[in-house]
Amino acid sequence: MIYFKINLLSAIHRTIQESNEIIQELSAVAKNGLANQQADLDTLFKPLHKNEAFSRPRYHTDYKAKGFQYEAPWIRIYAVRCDKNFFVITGFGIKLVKQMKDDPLLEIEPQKLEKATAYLKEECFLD
Amino acid sequence: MKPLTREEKIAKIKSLSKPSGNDEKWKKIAKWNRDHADALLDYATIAMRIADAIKEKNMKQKDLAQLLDVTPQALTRIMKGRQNLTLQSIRKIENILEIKLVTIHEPKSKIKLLTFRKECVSTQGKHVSDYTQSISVFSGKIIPITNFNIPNSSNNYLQIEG
Repeated sequence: MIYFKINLLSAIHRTIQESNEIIQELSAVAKNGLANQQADLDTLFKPLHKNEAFSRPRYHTDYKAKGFQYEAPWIRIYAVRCDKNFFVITGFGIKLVKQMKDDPLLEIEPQKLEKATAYLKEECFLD
Repeated sequence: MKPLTREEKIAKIKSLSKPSGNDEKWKKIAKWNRDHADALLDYATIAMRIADAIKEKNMKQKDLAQLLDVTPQALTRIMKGRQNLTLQSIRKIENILEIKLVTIHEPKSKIKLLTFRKECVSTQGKHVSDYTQSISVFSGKIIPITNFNIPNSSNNYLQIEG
């Protein structure tokens, strides 16, 4: 199912570059703190599910962030969106497959999102 | 239950999560990456070569740590590409693993031809002949092109040609 053709060292370099670019972006936003509503986590994170799932409740809370340097970035950060510019990160991974369920390391991420969502609902972070 | 306002959520998440500050691990990593941005990929390449060599030699990481006289944690940092290695450490690793990690090349334009010039002086104090012998210099090693016998009576010196 892997659809990239790349040698190991280039893959390592690319992974480092991509993950560093996301971590620098997060770090820059984090400097402003949670109170700052102008910070741009809402542009860094995108809905995890496709538009067809818009009517499903978790469409509005399951989010992902990915790199932007490459055309097909493979680093992912998964998070639950609690409010404007307010995300709770639940995990991350390297997505080299078309669907998360195709990779045993990624297929647990939706479960983690689900558990986190349930907890955050219980704690009144979510409607 | 009524959903919390954004401000209430912030207050609550702060009370639920671990104390935050500049010492958070991910922030430390972000800072380290920022400070070492120019060398991040080189650290990764070095780490990968070390990993390959360890595998080829059927060694374990802790064996290499012992030979290098560093803690296993320090070697783990190197293997994760999170250690700014000194040239001395690099040479030590190279010698133990019998690999080459870093090669320093003199830029081609800077290679200078050293002329080994010998002036033979006759008993009357007159120059009877000038012999010049070229030697090439590269990467700090001097490789004579041919053998050259220097009489004891001569004044020898090295002349660097620009």
